[in-house]
Amino acid sequence: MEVRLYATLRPIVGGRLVELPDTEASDVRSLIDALIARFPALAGRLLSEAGEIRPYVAVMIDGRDVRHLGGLDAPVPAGAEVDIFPPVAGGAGARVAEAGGAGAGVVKAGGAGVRVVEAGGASAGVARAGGAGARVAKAGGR
Amino acid sequence: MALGGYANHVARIDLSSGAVAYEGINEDDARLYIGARGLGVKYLYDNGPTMDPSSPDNMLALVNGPLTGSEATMSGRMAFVTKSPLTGTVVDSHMGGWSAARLRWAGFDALLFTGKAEQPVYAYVADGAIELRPAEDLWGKGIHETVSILNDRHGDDLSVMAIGQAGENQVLFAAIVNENDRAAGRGGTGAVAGMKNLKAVVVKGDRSTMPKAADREKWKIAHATALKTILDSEVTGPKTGGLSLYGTNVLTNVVNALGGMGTRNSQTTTFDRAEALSGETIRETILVEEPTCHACPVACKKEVEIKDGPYKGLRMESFEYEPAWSLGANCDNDDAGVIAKVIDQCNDYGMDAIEIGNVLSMYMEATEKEYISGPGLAWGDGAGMVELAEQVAMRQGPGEILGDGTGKAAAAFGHPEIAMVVKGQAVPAYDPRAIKGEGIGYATSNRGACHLRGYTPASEILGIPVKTDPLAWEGKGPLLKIFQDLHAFSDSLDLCKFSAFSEGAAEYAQQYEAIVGIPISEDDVMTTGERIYNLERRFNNLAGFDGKDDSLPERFLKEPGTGAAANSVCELDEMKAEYYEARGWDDGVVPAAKLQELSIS
Repeated sequence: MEVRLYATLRPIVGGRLVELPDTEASDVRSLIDALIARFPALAGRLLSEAGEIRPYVAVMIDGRDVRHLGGLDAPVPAGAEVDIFPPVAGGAGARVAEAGGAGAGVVKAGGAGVRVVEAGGASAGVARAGGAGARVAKAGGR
Repeated sequence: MALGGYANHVARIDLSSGAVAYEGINEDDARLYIGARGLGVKYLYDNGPTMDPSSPDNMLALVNGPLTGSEATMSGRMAFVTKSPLTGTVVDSHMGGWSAARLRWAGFDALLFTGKAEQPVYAYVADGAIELRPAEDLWGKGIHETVSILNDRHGDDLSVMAIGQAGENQVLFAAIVNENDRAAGRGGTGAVAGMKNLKAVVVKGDRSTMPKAADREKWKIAHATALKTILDSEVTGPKTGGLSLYGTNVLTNVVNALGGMGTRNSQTTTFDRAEALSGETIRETILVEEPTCHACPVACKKEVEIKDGPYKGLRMESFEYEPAWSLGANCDNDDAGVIAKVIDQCNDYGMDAIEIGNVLSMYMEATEKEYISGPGLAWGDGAGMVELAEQVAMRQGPGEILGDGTGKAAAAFGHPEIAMVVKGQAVPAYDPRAIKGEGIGYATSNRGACHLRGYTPASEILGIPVKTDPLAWEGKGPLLKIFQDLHAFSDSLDLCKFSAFSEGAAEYAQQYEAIVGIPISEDDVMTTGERIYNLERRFNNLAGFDGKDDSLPERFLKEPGTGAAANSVCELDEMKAEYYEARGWDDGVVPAAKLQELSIS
């Protein structure tokens, strides 16, 4: 299986591609574990201290971000195209809502409008390390 | 005036008579609309929304925000606001570099041009005064030569904003470019300058007159907090973040991977040679410098030098993601030298590099399908692209029609369906079959197809502020509204949109409060952005636009994408319904109650 890496991950692995035996990558967790076993410096780039995929890191199976496929438990079919991106962007952000501190405000779009809901865990805080505290998303009810 | 931050000095220049009148900032308008985009739209709104954009009565407003030219990180930006000759809508187009900061240092918040000069002129701005000077000797020259001449003539501490031949020839997507490479690219602001016989604006000023915050102690905290978010971010961190290292073109591979890269005039959505044009490859092969803008540590600009082929030795800035796509995959071209050459042509002739790529790709499809007579242009014909780009700028040969833009030209060929446009402006580099938020974003943008009105890919690709599925349409309407409102506010400060990868409404509020000296909450930030967006929409409504104009090309609605977007089309109607509900609009029209709620008059 070929795993393609991009941007700041390439210097770590010394190229664009890493070949892994199919048997080492039946799901995303085992795939990432196999990568880290070969390139330990990837650990802090791909996984949080809690062992989850870090916020803003995109692991894609056949062009689908595994955050929409079950995360680390998502299966990796034989012959799948695997792409891993560090945080990359270039248009414009919108940290309208932000997670930080003890709380976590995440913008959630609903049927009748936009509301602020509670969320936590993996989406919180990394880009805000040392930031000023919780951010409030606002759009409720309008 | 009670508000800090502003110079409280605006010039109204009647190019027909040559008269210049000076006035202060209207404090009520400044509180409601902030500056730059918001205040510029208010000036334009008050000037009238129904006139022909080519009329001398149309206004070309150059407007700074209260943070422009200050110590604020990423504050080297200003808005060019006018009624677009390309779309007939309001348009605000921003540029980086140093011209905006220098305009503030020269003592101005805004320059409001109306009328039409009898002969070509340029405006010379320094020490709180503006003079109109003859520009016959500059007319017909490209931007690079114009900048060089005016720099030699007027000395140091100078920035030049100019049009090239495209603006002079009223190419409807002509741009205004400052300092050779930084463009107010979209919507044809350069065509309006050309219609007014305004060749350039020269601004002279230095940091000795940099504006000071109303509250210095609050400013120290606000500035340090905002700067730290930029420095710590994995996106914007200098020399560590993806945007800093690879520029905007770091997007090429990720957008292609998720099936969002329109190819061959968006007939498919994946490009098998994307890697050759990616930010990673450009950095490895032809990168030579990494320039920046006023008060920006990120340095996303990537200057390249072509090392071989017919454009060997060409050194240019602005190898950005958008033109890398519009002139690359979109034209079935994988030659970075050709892309660099055409971008440089755009910077010299003064044209929007997104629109020209779509003009060329539309013309290629028209050629392939034999919709036009003559030799046309083959997919990936690099030399032909360069030649045709020049013809467009000069309005020669097929460029006579193509200079009216993708939409009008395709209609003239009898095949409007091959124009990937919204309200007459061509689409950017995110295919809405793969990134659905951009579908509703393009459709409802107040200035025609645009990714920067509401940048939902931050959520759909990166996960800011929360990860949403790019292939799912549900919830994208309300999500877009949040992005649009926040961007309307930051565009009015005027801070670079890239600040929003690490800063949020809290940092914007904190900086505004310290500079201007009046309290503002995060809620106020969003409400102000909403007010600005609604004022723009009100302008467009009065100009004759409504919900039927919030549309997409049928290709995005009926022809599925490829790769990860296989079997996917854009569910526009569903997203429009939830978007209008979130906005409180009636079929794209701002109702009276919403105007009143937002204090728009």
